[in-house]
Amino acid sequence: MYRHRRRFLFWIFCLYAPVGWGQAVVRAKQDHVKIYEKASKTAVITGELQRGNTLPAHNRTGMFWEVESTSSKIAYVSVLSVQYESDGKSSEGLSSALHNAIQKTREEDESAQVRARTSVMGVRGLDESKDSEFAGNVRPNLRMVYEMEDRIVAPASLSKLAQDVTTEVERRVEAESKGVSHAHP
Amino acid sequence: MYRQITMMKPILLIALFGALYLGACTTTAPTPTGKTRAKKEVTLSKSEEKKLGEYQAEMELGRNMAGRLLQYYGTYDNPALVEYVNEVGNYVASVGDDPDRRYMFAILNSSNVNAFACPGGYILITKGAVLQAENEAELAMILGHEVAHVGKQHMFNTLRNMKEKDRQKEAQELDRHGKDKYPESKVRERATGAESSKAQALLAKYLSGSAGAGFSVLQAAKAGINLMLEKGLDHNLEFEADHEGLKYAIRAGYDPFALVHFLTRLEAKKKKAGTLVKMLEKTHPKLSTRQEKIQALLKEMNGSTIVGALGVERFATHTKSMK
Repeated sequence: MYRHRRRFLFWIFCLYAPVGWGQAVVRAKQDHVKIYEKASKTAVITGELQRGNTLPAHNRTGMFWEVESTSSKIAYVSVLSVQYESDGKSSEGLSSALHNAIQKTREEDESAQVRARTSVMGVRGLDESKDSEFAGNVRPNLRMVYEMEDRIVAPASLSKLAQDVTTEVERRVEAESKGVSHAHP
Repeated sequence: MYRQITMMKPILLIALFGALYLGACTTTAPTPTGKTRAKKEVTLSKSEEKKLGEYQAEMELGRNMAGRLLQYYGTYDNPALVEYVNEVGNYVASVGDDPDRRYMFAILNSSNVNAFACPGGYILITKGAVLQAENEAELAMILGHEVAHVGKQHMFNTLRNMKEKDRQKEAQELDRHGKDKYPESKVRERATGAESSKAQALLAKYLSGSAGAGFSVLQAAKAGINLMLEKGLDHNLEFEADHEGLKYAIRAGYDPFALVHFLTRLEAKKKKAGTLVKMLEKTHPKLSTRQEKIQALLKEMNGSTIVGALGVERFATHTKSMK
């Protein structure tokens, strides 16, 4: 019973580990992703990843990601067979809270501007039709800033762009393997 | 009964372990009052809460700075292109080191080749810079550079670390020389005049609700603009942004040599149409030095063996209307 419990806790730990450590990871896009000892396809294969498996990622070297293998050793996987995921990407709560906070300060700004304009006109006895242009120039153009804030990129658009980029890279790698060089200076 | 309790122990342990490990606490984020999204309670961890506070402070400053730049230059009115720039920028940022921030992009209506990163994620690229790029990879590198400036809090920290009197000096410099220095003097002139004297104090008072805090945001924003348009950030911060931006764009799958190609083209352009890159040169390290540093990094990364995407067709489709 105790042994089973320990094993169960170990698997729970493994499940949470990559998230909890906040480390960038690479996630296998398919089954049988080879883990190499060196950054070369002719190097010794030290293991395999199955689709969805992750490994902590370090630096990029050529067409390989330097990763930390399960035995905590430095190893390499091909960039074409894994998806890189940045540290902190899972924090949906934070981006949502940030959006809320932005909206809140925006509304405060908007009401403050109305107060400011009213105050200018009240104190100086200005004619709104003539002087509102001047009052508008006093402050930064927040309307344009709000337009920027309101522009949300749909996750589907990002996925499509990522897919297009990957497809082009795969096509170029294939072309290169057939002898077509991509010629770097 | 005893057996039931014993069996529940591992479940309780797991629940406790999971809760601790994910760092969730019962703090609630500010409730939304926005018009665009429905109210939604958000639970944040302690570290997320700290981050939120920092981001908010940055955004307060960034809004003011971005608002001024947008006012000076105006925006380039091409919604499809702006959307495309936002897609590329956010894609690069999604594999950057700070993907949980918000990154917002706009195109400034200026022929100068430049881009500005305001604290809080407001990134402004000039029409001239987009026109100067030849493909999506080059655009991704430029945006990656700006994303790195935001993520590494370069401007925010520079302003925060400035002494109050230095910030004031920078802000005054902007007021004094503003309209003569900028090519878009017409737009600039109106903003400068309005920002002086009583109007400035009034704006400060009502911008953030309290005179002291408001004025400090105003001073910092003006000092930031002066740095952006006149002196630039510390050169080491620019090199770091090149370094990090390049890494992000490569992670995203783009051609590693795109930034080198872009800078080489600018160097050549400098001889023919120097004014377009004059401000960039003034506020950034020498183009040749940047190229050398990038080449060194690429060598370290074994860059010549990296096959990346260029996105020539996508870029051409979106920028067709500009040319």
